Amino acid sequence: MPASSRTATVFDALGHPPRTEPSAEGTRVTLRLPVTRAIPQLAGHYPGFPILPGVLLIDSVRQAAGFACGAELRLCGIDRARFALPLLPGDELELSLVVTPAADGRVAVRARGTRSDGQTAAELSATLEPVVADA
Amino acid sequence: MLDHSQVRARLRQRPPMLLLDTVREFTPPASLVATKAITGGEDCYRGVADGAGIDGFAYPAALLLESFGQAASLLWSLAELGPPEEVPLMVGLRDLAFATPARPGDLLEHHVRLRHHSGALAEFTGETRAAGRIVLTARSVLVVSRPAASLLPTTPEPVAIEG
Amino acid sequence: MTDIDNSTSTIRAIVADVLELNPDEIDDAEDFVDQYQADSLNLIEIVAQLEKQYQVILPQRELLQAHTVAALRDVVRRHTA
Repeated sequence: MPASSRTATVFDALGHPPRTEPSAEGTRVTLRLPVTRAIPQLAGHYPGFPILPGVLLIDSVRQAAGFACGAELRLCGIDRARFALPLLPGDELELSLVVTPAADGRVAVRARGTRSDGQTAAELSATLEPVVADA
Repeated sequence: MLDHSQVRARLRQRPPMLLLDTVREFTPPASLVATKAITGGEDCYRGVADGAGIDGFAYPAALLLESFGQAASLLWSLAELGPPEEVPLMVGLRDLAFATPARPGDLLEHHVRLRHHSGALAEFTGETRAAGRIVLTARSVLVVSRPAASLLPTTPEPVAIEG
Repeated sequence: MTDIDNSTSTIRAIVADVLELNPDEIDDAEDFVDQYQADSLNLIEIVAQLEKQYQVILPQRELLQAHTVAALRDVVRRHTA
């Protein structure tokens, strides 16, 4: 990764550019996420049986929401997250988010990750806020 | 209580996803304090541009949570909540609050307590402190353990690991 | 039999919370999986909440077919006598 980021990075989930469209509730964002985007992390999680860490799904949602907002976002809280199915190399997830404005400049996000076979693999509802840029 | 070699012996995660250093205290039956030191040499700071301000070095919430989850896994292991050949997987989270982030130089102290245990299921609660502040509060972290063998792909595919 | 009424409404509230439904929407005789698209993790979450609520451990084999509020109430009653 080039030394060009203004904040720490976990991995880059946005290999496929997210699609955004306005919806009644806010902005709907869709991101295709092949599990192999996280190959360096999968080497250690776990050696011999790679499984996508749930926290990388959470970070993928953060990145996709940030793309829609045009701002780097920081996670403030998770109301609920569910990881119903283990995600393995070869799996591809479609992440579908609804991003809505919340109090104090924060944004609320509800996201669902669906595996290629149509099964819901993960769900997340979380609150994020823009990272305040420093000089 | 457990040094880093003993932590490694009980966790299956390896770098870059091994995010726990020691267990400082284990209080039977089921609570512990585990630590991770954050340094500027972490993988997550590799791409930070020269000249970035200190806010750019906020430790990512995803990694903080993974580190907390690994502390819960160690409690699962120390409290013998399941057989060692099983892997505890984080399956559910409720009511987590991330406060002002930790930074390089901070020592994360995860205070984890078991709330409930039944069969393969365990629920943990706790908080993470750094530099005397709370950086994460977690009301509920739900873990289900599965046999490691059941987590292999049914049709094994070779995974290209960049060398 | 107010304790049965109480446990039914408590169990319905727990199921509704896990499935993110309104308690009024849940029919006590309807199967969570068939009717409300519950997945296996939802069933685990429901059992965890019930066990904490009633301070019991519910045997796995009795839960396998207990996918309705009424069936769960029967399992809970057998173990909280």
